[in-house]
Amino acid sequence: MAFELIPGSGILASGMSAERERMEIVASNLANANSTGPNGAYRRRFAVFQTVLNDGLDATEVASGLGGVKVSSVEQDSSAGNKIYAPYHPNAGPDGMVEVPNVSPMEEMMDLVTATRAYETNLSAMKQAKDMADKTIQLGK
Amino acid sequence: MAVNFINDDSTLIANKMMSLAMERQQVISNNMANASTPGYIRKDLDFQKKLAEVIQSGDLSQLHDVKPQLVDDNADAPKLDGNNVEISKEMTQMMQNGVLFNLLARAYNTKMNIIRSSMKGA
Repeated sequence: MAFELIPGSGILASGMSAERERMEIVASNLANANSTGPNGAYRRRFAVFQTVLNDGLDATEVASGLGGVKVSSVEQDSSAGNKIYAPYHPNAGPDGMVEVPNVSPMEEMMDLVTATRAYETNLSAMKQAKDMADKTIQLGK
Repeated sequence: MAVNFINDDSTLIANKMMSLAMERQQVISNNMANASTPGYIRKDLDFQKKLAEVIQSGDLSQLHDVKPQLVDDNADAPKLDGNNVEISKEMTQMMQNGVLFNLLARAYNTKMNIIRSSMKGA
């Protein structure tokens, strides 16, 4: 067996960094909730998660199926944003309409809460794994 | 009394089950990390039947042959995104796994303390 004193620490770390990346994307979406541009408004971005297989040399039969998770790509939501009438706006089209981003603050907040909870779950698993390692090194005392 | 009083049956079984609990912790961790991965089916370890057979046969030298298999757990129907991980279930499993590990560690420690105090004779 691969020597991993804290069981699953690498897997949990991958989960936590994936969730953190998701939070950063949410932050970017919220920060750009009003960003317009001459070629159309900012488009909402979202993370696509993918399972990782462990291809390390230390992979045992069981461990080879377990590699954690990663953000495989960041995609853009291509649905069109709302248009508002603002002929004075520098990014307004000939009809006086400006496209605003297709970011829904409510949706983003939901995503943020989900990511936070998932992060906390990984953290509490990490805590238990650490306790197990503590117990292991104190065996026989 | 058996000649080998440190590595007796209970110690061997405790050691094996502790290493199984360690591996199971990794599997549960992987399920948690993939809680929002589309299409992910929760995984679990399958070793109980083989372990029970070895313990019943009484030949503990076969404990090395008990190798856990990584299996897909389709007991829960997948959600719309094809993922069937339920965080509450993972947390419960992880807690049980941790309690089992602590129990085994304590059993091993108690055993060592018994041997220690019998050697000291006090």
